[in-house]
Amino acid sequence: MKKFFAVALGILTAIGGFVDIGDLVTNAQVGARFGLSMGWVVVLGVLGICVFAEMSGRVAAVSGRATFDIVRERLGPRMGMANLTASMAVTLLTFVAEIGGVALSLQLVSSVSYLLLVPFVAFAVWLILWRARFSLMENVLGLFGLALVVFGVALWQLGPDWSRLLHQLAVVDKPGDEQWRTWAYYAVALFGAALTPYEVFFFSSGGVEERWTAKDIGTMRANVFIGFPLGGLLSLAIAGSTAVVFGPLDASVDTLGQVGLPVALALGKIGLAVAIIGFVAATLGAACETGLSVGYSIAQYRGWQWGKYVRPDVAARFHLVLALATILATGVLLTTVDPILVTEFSVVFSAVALPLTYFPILVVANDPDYMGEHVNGRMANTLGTVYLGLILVAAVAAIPLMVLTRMGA
Amino acid sequence: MRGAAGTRAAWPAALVLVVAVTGGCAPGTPDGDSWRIDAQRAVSDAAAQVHTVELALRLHGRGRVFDRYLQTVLLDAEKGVGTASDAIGAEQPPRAERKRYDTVTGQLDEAAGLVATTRIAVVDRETDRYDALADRLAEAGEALLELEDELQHPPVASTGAG
Repeated sequence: MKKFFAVALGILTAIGGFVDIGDLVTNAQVGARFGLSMGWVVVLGVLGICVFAEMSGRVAAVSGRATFDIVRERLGPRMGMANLTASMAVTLLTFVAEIGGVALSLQLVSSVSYLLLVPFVAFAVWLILWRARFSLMENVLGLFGLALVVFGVALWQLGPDWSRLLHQLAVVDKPGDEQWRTWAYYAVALFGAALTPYEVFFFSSGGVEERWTAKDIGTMRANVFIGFPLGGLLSLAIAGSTAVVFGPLDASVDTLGQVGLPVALALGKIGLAVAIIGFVAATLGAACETGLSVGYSIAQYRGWQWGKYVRPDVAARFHLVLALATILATGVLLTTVDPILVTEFSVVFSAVALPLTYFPILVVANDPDYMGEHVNGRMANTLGTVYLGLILVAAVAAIPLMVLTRMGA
Repeated sequence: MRGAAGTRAAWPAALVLVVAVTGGCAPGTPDGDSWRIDAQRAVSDAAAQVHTVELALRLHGRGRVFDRYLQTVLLDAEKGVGTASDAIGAEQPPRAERKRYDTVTGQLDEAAGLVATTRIAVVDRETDRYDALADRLAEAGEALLELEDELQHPPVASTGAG
């Protein structure tokens, strides 16, 4: 029974923790402009994150060591540095976007400018990273993140033309007034949002924090293969809601306030309140995860003591990195840069950094010296290789598409 | 000697660089197609914000949105319309598009004014004005969408001298 609850809790937190500011913004934008015609990209992205999260989780469970720790040892300092630089830059950008996302969410209920809220949010994030227990942080924020299920309920209540939505999902097409290159830009952005590098680093480092062993591989797989796809359904529900409400108005979605309006239309103030709780929990949870991922990656690469399972004075350098990253993120946001714009950049650059993030994981998960009998099977390798190809295409196309379409204009 | 000659040779190169850089900073005139794309984008962005404000206002009237949420949506929309207006207003229109430039900037200014008026009414809790403002926003939004459609085509060639 205890095992059942552990699995159920893991799945629920995986669902609630799946959506972050990048998913919220990108899915809402895409839904309003393209309906559910890009649902297949979400499905593709979710399958991809499942493949690589399972690999990195398995590496952590079998070796007891996290990704960067092994990447540097297995592939050498040069490849390790390339891996670190690419994923760190994107993770830091995502960290900035998530803190901005929490502030924007709180602005919706307080109408106080998000700029005034940023220092308080950043302090709260740092405090959680410093003081809160890992499992408490992950479970509480993940469970509150489940509030985003309200988008599914709202979509149901809005009474859309389901056959039309399902047809959009099933067919690769675009609305007549959109260009294919804009369509391709958003496809890459959605793919990047689903496969953000921090997710695998956090997942594997979290496995080490929670002292997974080979016995936990089954639970880990349940979290990944049930939790993540159900989290992906939340992304589709967000896209579906904005498609139903903003699509007919021919209106784009550029702010978090707009994202919540379909819920208000369908479910009123109570639904809207639940959606805002979901926004805060999803962005705060992701802020903590990205902040920790910055600390994890640097500490693991440098060979420092790291993690929340050791006392802060034992992992002083790790905690110093967390504090400095939080200060840096606050400074960036206080320049008045638009957090939504930062989010848009972070998902596109995430696509650019993907090969450097995922290739080393595939190599390590294939190494019998580290993995023993748990080395990648044929299925994992086939999927991993196919995804590496897709990731390469997305990485090469991301910047040219961003320039050509002027960020999806 | 070589140093002095090198310095003399560097002057024309520096001059060319300065001219190139300052020339690049001078406002250029986009061609008709790219101006139309920019104008369409600005008008479309503004229409989206105007429709959002209308939707939020009507939802508030039905008791489905909190006051502070409405205020935040309005502030964001006001910023969005302002950004759209500034972006196209600061762009040099091609000669053939001068007339439509005036129409575009005029309608964007009008939309910005209307959103600002709505924000003032919302902050002052003048709830009795919400319905009338929502109707005006609906009209302004439709007018912007019509203008966006119109901007898909090059201007009709003028037969007069003007």
